[in-house]
Amino acid sequence: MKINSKKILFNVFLVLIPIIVAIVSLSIGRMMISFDEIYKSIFNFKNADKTFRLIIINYRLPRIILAILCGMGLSVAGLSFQALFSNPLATPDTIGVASGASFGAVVAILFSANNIVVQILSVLMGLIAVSLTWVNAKSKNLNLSYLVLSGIMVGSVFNALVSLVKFVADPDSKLPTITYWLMGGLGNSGYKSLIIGAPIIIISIVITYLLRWRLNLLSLSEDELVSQGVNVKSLRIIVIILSTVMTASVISMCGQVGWVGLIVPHLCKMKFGNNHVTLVPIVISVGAVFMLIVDTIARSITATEIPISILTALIGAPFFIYLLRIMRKKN
Amino acid sequence: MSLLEIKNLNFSYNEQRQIINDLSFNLDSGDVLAILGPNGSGKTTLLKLIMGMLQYRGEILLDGQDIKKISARDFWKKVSFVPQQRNVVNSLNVYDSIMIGRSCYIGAFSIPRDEDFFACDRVIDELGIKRLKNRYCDTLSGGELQLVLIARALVSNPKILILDEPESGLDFRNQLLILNVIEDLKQKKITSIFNTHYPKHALQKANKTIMLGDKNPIYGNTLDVITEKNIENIFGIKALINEIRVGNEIIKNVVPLYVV
Repeated sequence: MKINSKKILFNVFLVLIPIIVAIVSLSIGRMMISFDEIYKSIFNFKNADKTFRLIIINYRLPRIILAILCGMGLSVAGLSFQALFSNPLATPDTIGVASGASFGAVVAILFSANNIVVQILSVLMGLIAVSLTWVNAKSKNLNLSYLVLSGIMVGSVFNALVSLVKFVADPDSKLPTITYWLMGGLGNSGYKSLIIGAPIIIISIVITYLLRWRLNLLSLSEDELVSQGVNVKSLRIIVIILSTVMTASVISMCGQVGWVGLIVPHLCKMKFGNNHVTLVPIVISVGAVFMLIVDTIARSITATEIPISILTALIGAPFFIYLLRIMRKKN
Repeated sequence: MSLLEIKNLNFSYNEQRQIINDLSFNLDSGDVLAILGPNGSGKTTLLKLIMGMLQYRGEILLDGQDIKKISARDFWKKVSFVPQQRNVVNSLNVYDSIMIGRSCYIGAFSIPRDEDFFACDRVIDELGIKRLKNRYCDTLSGGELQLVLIARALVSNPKILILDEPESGLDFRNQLLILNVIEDLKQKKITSIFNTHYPKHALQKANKTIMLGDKNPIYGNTLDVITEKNIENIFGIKALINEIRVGNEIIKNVVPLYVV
């Protein structure tokens, strides 16, 4: 491989940036905490202030880990789906993952289940939704157009079921919880809730990272793909499974966080081109940073926390349009 | 032993109409085979059959081995495919696109290595497309894209190159450019198989030709296959084959006269 110092430096930069942003984010909040205190709380806790240590270790740190995981997971899943369908507008909900996962979660909330059950049911329903999409679209050669059509249908059925749950939910207690949950947020984070989701997301991201060269091939037509000696069907199935479990795990932990899977990959493509070998690590890094920034704003800008999908859209969409305009001018 | 042996090949999409009827032929290294025939006569189908993409009756042997028994990876190291450029959608830049042709050498969990970069640089040099290296494929003209697609196919060092209508949709100059590239492959002992709508391209560049029509396919040396009589039988037109002397070279040409 062509290795030069510029490339190495860039990769180090990709790893360092999320870490730096995470440290800054640890200090920001309704209570500002100095870097010195952060250091003491994590590495030298005998001398640390108890309140600061409590805030950092029990509240901010798990939340920041969750933000990093969500950002990476949603961005990588978005990138994979866009490659898979050769469509820049493809998102995890194209084949019904998000709708299914949401349905699982709201049902669990309706029956007052605890967080772990919400997560498990959510991941499970996300997978069931995709399996249904798959079964409906099943043909000898796995036609992607059928898959999308079937995904839209399955997605709308699950969206209707979510509405049904909201309709029957107690408007005083359950309905607000469900509505807030659907708007997304990282407020429920804790080390316990990370146990199920984190390993799934990390493993899926690692495998996608290793497969990054293969993602380039997905944009080829069927005959071209076959003529590269690639097993088309298994490659597509692997990418679908990885992206599905990533998305479902994220949704199970922090609700429907829209836009990230669309904005982050496109931001990176505008700047760095479409070669997934370089794109995947960049998207992982930028996804983490994007979510960290948005979540830090969500929890610190006002006294009550702002649901995160509102912010991802409010910050992400205008920024995206701004970038589109710059790119158009350049061309 | 021939490089490619086709024995009693039969294929039909449905029972009513047989597309390929009992076709047999052999190709050696450096042969150029043209496939001619009216629209819908099965030119692209024949290419797909040779590449093992469709179920067939009969035998196709590559280096003496039945292609059904060769692993996909090993098969595509020996055979490369250049699709019709109008069907190609590609958002990568030229260099990365050409690198895709190395896929059968790159493991599923791997990325291009030194030898892959060398192969890419070599093909880019050979085809003289260095100036296109950093352009995006969706900004290329038809002729440029066709060259890139050929480069992508050649980067895996194939023994056989299969091209689906390589010169269709191109202007005069680019047609000649692409045909010359195919001709140059002879010297490198690469066998090429291409289908075309132009009998004169087959006459000028191919040493062997297959004509597909309603009846049994006609196969043989190009000069024996592309005759005024065969053109009338297969295409239903009266055509004139003439010779033009340019310097010491005699160039054959086919002039269509009228529909029979």
